[in-house]
Amino acid sequence: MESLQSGRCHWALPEVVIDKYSDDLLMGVLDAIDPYFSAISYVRKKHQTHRFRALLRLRWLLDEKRDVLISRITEVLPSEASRMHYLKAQSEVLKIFEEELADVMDEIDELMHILNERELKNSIRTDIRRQIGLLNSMRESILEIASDPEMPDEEFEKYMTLDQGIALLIKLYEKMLEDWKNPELSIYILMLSLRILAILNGKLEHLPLLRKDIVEMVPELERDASPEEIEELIKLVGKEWPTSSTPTS
Amino acid sequence: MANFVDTNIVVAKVVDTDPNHKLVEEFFKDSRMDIMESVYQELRQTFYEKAFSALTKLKKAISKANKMEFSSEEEEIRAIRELTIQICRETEPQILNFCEYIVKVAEERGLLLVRKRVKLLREMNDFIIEQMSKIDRLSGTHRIIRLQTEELESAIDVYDRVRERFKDDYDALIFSEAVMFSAKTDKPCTLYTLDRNFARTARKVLEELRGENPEIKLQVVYLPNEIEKKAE
Repeated sequence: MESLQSGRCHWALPEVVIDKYSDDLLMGVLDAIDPYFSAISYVRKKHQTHRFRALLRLRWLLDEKRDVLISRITEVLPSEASRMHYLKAQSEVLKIFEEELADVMDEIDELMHILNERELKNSIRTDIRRQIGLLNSMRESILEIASDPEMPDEEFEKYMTLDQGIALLIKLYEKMLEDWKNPELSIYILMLSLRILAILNGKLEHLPLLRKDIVEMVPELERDASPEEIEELIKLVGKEWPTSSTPTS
Repeated sequence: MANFVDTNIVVAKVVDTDPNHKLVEEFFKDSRMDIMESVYQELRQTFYEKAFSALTKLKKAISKANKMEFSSEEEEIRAIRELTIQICRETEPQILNFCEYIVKVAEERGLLLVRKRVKLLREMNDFIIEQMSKIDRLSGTHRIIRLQTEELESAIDVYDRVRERFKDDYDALIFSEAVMFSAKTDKPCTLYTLDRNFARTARKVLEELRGENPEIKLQVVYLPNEIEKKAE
């Protein structure tokens, strides 16, 4: 029984894998807070290592502060899925990172003066592509476990929700490759990454909220559909509509 | 003038087997429906729940099929298809159309095989997300209503206040959005519903809100009553 309470054991994923994915997600969170975070490889390439010491140690810092960051972030994650609640949470999250990673955030400000827009665009696009790759391998691990024929329904639904959240996150990233400055996308990517991070780390109370996030964010994909197709989808939903109205006779 | 409608009315309009279909068609023959974002959201939410549940039935069918032996792939595909429908009939017949839908898509993609189950789950999750995102902007005689950021903020304030009074999130959300619109326009606004209880609650809450903010010019109408009135 004890193992059930220690968070991590909610998943059949090995702990090292959860830690690795958590770090990947945290990197995505940072990019969503400020695209200049994507410029770390640029700093390295341009031999600016003496000037950005904290930034270059970021992976190590994240690894060290992972538990603190995750526990503080999950405190401010909204319990409602709406843009307004997301905006409020976004500023809280930024505050947490400024407190926990003060040196890094200072260097990010400094980076703004040396990087031009084209360089920034290139580095964020490179980062997004890498992030998509990481998220895809995360999905592979999750689906591999979820597809076990012996998996009980309740467990199965847990893994499915997580995978659907990551699927949406990937699609939002793909959209961001076309429109990298879209602030709407950044907020959604930030919130979704944080929600998935929380769930992955055993905060299962966020699972129903992730489902709400998906419903709220999904129109942002702006997929084309013909009027007939939309009507067909509503027909599908509307059949056996759980209406509380009494049909008039 | 704005004619807001609740989700029941949108469903009744689109689904021709709905018991209220004719009534809604007739009533909105000459006037435009104004569909708010919250209505689409409720439709998306329901799509998600039903599709998710259908996918769980499909997974159960695959688990059963895993213990069976088949002489050909065709036989395996048929067994998974039939098992899914059977499980659905036995456990949740009200989503049968969704199970058929999900199974059909999976079969067309050649994924109804035990050995392809990882790919199946991956593709179906993508599919559910993609389809859900399309439930938006119903065209035709309907106008789409979208709130600006500040208005949305006020709508959420209203929502936070009135949520407890309604039976679920969406009733409260649809009501709050309609209230917000009516407060920013000089024209009369009506929210039509097919749910008698929703109409009753909404009117009561509206009265209280109006006491504080006379700018709210919304009225809530239970559609069958309105039709009766017109007939007299």
